[in-house]
Amino acid sequence: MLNVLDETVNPVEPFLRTDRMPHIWCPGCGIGTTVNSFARALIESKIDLESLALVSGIGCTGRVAGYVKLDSFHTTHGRAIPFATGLKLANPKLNVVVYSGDGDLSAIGGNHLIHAARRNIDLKVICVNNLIYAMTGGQTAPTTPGHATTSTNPYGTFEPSFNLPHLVEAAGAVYVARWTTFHVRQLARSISEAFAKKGFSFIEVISPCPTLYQRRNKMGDGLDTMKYYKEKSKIKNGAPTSDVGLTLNGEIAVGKFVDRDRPDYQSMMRWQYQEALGERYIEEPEMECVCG
Amino acid sequence: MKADPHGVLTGTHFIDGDHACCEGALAAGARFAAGYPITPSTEVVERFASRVPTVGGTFIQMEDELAASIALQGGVWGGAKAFTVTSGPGFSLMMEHIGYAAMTETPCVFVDVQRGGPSTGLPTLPAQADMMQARWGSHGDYEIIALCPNSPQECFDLTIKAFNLAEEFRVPVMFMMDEVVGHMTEKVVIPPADQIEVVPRKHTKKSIEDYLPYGTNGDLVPEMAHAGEGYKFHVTGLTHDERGYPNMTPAVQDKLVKRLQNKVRKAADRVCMFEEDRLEDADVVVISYGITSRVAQRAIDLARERGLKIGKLRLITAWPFPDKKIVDLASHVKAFVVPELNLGQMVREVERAANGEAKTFAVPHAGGGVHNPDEILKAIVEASRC
Amino acid sequence: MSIITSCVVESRSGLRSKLGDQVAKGRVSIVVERCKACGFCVEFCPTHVLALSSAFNSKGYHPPHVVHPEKCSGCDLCGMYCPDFAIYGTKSDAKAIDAAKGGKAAGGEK
Repeated sequence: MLNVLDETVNPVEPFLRTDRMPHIWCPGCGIGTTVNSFARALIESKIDLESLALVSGIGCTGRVAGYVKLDSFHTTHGRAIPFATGLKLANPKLNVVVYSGDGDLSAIGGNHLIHAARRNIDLKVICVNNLIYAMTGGQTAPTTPGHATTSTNPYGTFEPSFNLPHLVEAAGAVYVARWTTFHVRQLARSISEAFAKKGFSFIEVISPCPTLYQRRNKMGDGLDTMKYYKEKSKIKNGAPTSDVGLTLNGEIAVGKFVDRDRPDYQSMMRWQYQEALGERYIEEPEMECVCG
Repeated sequence: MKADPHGVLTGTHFIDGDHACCEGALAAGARFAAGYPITPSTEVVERFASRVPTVGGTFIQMEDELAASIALQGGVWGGAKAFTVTSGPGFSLMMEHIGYAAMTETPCVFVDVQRGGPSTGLPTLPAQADMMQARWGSHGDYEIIALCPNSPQECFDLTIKAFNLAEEFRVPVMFMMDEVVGHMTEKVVIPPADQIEVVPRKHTKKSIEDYLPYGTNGDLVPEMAHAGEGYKFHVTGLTHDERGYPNMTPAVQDKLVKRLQNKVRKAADRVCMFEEDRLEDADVVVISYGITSRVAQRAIDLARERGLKIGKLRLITAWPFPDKKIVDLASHVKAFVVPELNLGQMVREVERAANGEAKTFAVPHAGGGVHNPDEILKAIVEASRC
Repeated sequence: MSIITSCVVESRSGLRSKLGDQVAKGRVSIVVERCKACGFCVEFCPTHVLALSSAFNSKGYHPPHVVHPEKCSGCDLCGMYCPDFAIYGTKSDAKAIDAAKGGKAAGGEK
């Protein structure tokens, strides 16, 4: 927002579709906070916004795509990652970010999550994890820690929940970090680090859903949750991801857990074709079709 | 616009329909495909995988049809012409994303090499039972175009046409092959690139400030932009306005969905292609498509030898359905005979369009093989007597 | 862009408190109409510059207001935390600080 009194501008403002503000997220929801960190990371990393594309799925976090002033694609539930894969393969010069929620990415999108990590597709995945399916009214998600109350487990959940950093590390991700919406500066730094890396990066951000998850579990509002994050988070950079599972009211391990190097999908593809086809291989294909 | 010679395998070939379809895609300018193996379609992408690294493009085999059907759309928005191939069970999985392509107006081609169904059915045997699904398979009101080749040569020629229609109307085009056409090997002539007409992408020439992703200049089809060009546009499957912004009100819904429908329906005369023979003085017209049309041809020839006045209408475009043609024919013929490798799908459209002006005789077949010409002949004779 | 809209910044802190003894290094700007009164900015401001006001915006939320303008360092933690993009802090430049120290306040809180 332009301050008409002294012309200062909120650093996040140039990244927003200001004609769509105020947004639909609830009071105390942390998604908007993650967008601030994302904007700061873009500024820090000096990312060329014209060659950045943001892809989201369905859910509260999926709505990020509609609020950022970028080439943005609000796709179908769970399928942001394969869409992003197609985008990246057709135009390798694009920086492609997938910004979606825990249900979208790990339930219906779970298969695509693990395959993209396995392939090491060069995508930066920001997973806002509010431990619930928020948009549809607070149903159990694969990340809902036991024994929480949700609308589809009214007597309390009893399923073990996913440890997302562990899952994506096992699948092959080269950069895995988790922060909460309290850790605004660390989150911005992690996103910047992901931009500097080639390959599949996964950054989980634990965020409040005061309207559904926190309210149904009598955990207070967004501010109470932020205070809980402040109090109960422990920075454990480099911790084994098998140890960072979440519990209902317990400690939240945050930090950068995985930062390793292995060739990304497109590098491996080019190498293979080069080996097999030599000069016949067209290494930098002009995939853009002729336009009229 | 002429085809890019890199993708055109000029010459005379002896290949099957699946392979010819792949060559058609390359000739049309397709440089990206995302696929998943399913009999009897797999050869299309197998050939694409082996051709495209030396033509200049990419193929990726995705983890399932859900991924393939949307990865190709990411490829389209990244600038490429893209397609996927599948058969019945995969076609069912792809339905959500066919709807997404229709809603976001993503030009692309979905090839369905139809096989026996429902469910796993008959993986290696033909049917034509996905015809209604091609039209209505995804939820909501939307319009697609569907083409039905009946030979490997047509698998080449009509695939190019499918891509051209996709770009012209910004719709997903369903390329409805069947297992026999896909796996039959015949002579396919691929002409030089400068004899192949290709429709370019309808890309906007507007400035970044003036561009409206879903605004139309009165012609019902908006201009496209690609990611990475600075337009910073938004695409969503939610009901949206001309800016592409979600706008979920009845008024915007009415405007959007009707435009999606009208952009194809109003051009139906131009889009509908068929092959016709001796319709002027026909008493009975045999309407067929795909492999069944070749069996029907034999039945028609036998009937004519007996002196019956039989006309032929072969549907090349199955959707939009050529209502006008049927209405016109119904006014002077006694009956239609509609053989299909299903238990009655396109025949319903014929009956609807005929509106009682002419009788309709279905010649169903549960699939797994093709009709015996005598079955169709029997129906023709019965229709002639009515 | 129209400068008089419902989303215009309506509140910006000055560099001096009413008591006028301490000069702030930064100032806060608040977009009142976007605020949903979550309280993050109030809680996480390191120098406790803010409190939720008793005023209402048009949606019925109590936006924050500046109670200790002289303590603002312009760190922009409020801006980083705000999920509604309704507040941000900026560091003041040396000229403005000098002017304020010289007794001429650069503007009061609205």
